[in-house]
Amino acid sequence: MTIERVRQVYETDHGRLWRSVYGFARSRHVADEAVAETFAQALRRGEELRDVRAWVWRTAFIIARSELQRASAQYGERRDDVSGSLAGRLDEHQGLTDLLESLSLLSSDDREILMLCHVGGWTAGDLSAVLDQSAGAIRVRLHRATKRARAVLDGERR
Amino acid sequence: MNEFDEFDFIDVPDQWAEILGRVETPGRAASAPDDLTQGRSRQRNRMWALLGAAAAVAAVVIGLMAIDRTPDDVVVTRATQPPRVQPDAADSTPPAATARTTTARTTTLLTTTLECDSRASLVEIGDLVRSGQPAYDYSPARDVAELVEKSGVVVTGTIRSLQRVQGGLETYTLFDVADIEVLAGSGDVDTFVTSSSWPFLDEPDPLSERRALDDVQFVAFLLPLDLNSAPSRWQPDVEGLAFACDGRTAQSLVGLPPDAAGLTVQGIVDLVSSPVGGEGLARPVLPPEVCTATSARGDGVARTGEISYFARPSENPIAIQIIGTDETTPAEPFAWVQRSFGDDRDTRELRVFDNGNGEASWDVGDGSQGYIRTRGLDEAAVEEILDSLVPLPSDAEFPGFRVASEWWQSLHEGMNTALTGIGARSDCQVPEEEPETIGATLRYSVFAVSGDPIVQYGAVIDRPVPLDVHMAGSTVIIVSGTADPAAPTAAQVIDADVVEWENLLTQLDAEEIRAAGEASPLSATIELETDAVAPGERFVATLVVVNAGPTVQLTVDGCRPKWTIVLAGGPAPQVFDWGCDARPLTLGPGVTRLPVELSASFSECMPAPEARSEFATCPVSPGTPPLDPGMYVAVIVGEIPGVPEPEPVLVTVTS
Repeated sequence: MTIERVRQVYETDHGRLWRSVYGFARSRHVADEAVAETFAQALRRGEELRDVRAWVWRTAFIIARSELQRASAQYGERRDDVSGSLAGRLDEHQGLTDLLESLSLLSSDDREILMLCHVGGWTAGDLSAVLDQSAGAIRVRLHRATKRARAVLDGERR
Repeated sequence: MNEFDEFDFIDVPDQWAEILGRVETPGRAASAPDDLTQGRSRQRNRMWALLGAAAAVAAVVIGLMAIDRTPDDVVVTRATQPPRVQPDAADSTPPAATARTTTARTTTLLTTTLECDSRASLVEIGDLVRSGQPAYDYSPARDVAELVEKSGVVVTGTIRSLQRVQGGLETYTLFDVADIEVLAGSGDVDTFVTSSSWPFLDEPDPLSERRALDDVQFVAFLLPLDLNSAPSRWQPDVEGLAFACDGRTAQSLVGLPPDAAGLTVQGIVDLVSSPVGGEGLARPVLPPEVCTATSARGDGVARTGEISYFARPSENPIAIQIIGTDETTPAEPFAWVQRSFGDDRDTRELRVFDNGNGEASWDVGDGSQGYIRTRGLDEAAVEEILDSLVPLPSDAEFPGFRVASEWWQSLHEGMNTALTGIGARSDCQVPEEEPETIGATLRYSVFAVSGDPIVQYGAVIDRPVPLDVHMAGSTVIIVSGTADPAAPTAAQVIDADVVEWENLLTQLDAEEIRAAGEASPLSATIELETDAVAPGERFVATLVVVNAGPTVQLTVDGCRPKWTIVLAGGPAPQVFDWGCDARPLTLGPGVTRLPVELSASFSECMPAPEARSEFATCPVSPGTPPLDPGMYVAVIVGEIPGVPEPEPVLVTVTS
């Protein structure tokens, strides 16, 4: 039963989740790690989880954030951008590379809400259950993050 | 945002097989890391071991993790890399830490004391503290005040040692602490614990033995741990442990509340000692290490009266509304809508500026006029608000607008004729390590406004866009000044103690200094503790220097300027000989007070056999003889370059 519940969420959400975590962390490795580990922990928890989908989305970002913090503490305060080597991104096309660079100028909180809504496809109302915040607070947070992202992206174009 | 469509083209790996592998074979090695770090494969192996073992201990951890957490609240993440310490090799001390080694009396076991004397060693100690910790899913505290409220006791002190110990079925990191000072709440604290486990089979637990620490200060927000099997009665809140050394930025278990982020342990202690609760904050200053206060204004008295905003006065009362979501505070995007009656004004098209301000005015059509000012809302949102406004009858109790929207609400409403508010302000400058140059100093102003919500929102929006806004209890805090990475945040603002605030109130603020500075940047006067003293009595005279320019640091030939205040006018000269003090004399903007202790005595005397007529003869007892009764003047002798000589002040030596 458990594996079916988790598999169902994997089928419907894995792609968007992986892309969202990738945009948040700017690292394929962190995305691989966080997403795989999240689903593995979901399987281990079995019926403990009331809402597998919400738990998976919340947990993947927690693990990704933990990875980034660890790397930052280990490699210096300015290294939270652990997207790492250029070689790691050579397989991405230039538009995505530019976008990731621009996103690196935003705070991790801003990146998180942008990825959840603009890449993950969550609405503020639905995201309320994931982030345990009111829809109003999420809308304001998204509004501000989008505005900052717009400023950064417009600046890049100039 | 269409830019994010780029993500749709990324190939996503199918991870299902790997996920099942992780569940079924938790000890297996991970795939080689690509771009995160180099040389972490060993750590990865440990991680898989941890994850496997974590499943076994998860239930234990979950049971322990306190206080209204549900079973899905704990997420086990990669363990912190264990420190590279080999207990059996004295010369293998990790380069990041300075270690002292001592040999146990009866065995060859070596224990190391980690000294906390560099950023690297602090990182090392942080790794130890966090080793084996689970990662938590938790609701962050709003601020330090909320943590204080939740805590049974808040203490500061030093961490003497760490050790992972067993307590019943669970394992913990045991913190042995000393030099405890209770900051809030009550309780005897000599230890506390955090849940942790070290399930790696291929790596020794760095905390299996007691690890002594040196010079690690901490502040902990502790909750009672009601488990008989636990080795301590206390555990910190998830965000309730900060530690550091050497005045460095504090580290934590998983993070700190926003107002504590970036502070030293002492800075957090100061926050706890001056909590900002529901009563708000009346004497707003920033911690001195963040921005040193130079002046303040605000008497703490509430004032009620008519206020006109945006230079749009009216002969008739103005109806004011704050429009936002149900979550909006003055720190969030909002709209200010007002309706005035009988005023003949131009209408203005909606304009939303790059700085986040928006504005429009319109003719309501019944002889009244609407005006909207917004902060942080885009044009679409403002248009949405404008479309939702339905004018109420002009004779209604509140003749403003009904907001016909599912999303936008009229949060606060009132007339402008009887608004009540209390305001306070301080100015500060960011401390600099290097001697400053003109124009390089970062100066900020901090405002605290409490009272009617309309007054609070008005304080935020009827000004140039501030750097930061924050709600501290019931008070809105506003920080304005130069945008800079070193700029303080509003969440860092604390309540000054009364004495500090009273002193700041006496200092000239920037406006006053500018006014005074048009003539000369420096001026000086002498203030006396008393103008009548008994012969031989000691008293304080103060040279008060007002600097209307930037900070100046003065040396003469490499020494601090040589000067003092003396009582002149007697029969003998006052003679002084100064050594060289290499520290420069710093005169910051505003008022600098330089106190000198005086004595109504001769500065020098000569033994009787060698006495010269102009000097007093030394008495038998130690010291110099008292001045004779009469009129003297307190004057400055010596020179402070650039500081005009102050006027002499009359002093009477009484009989």
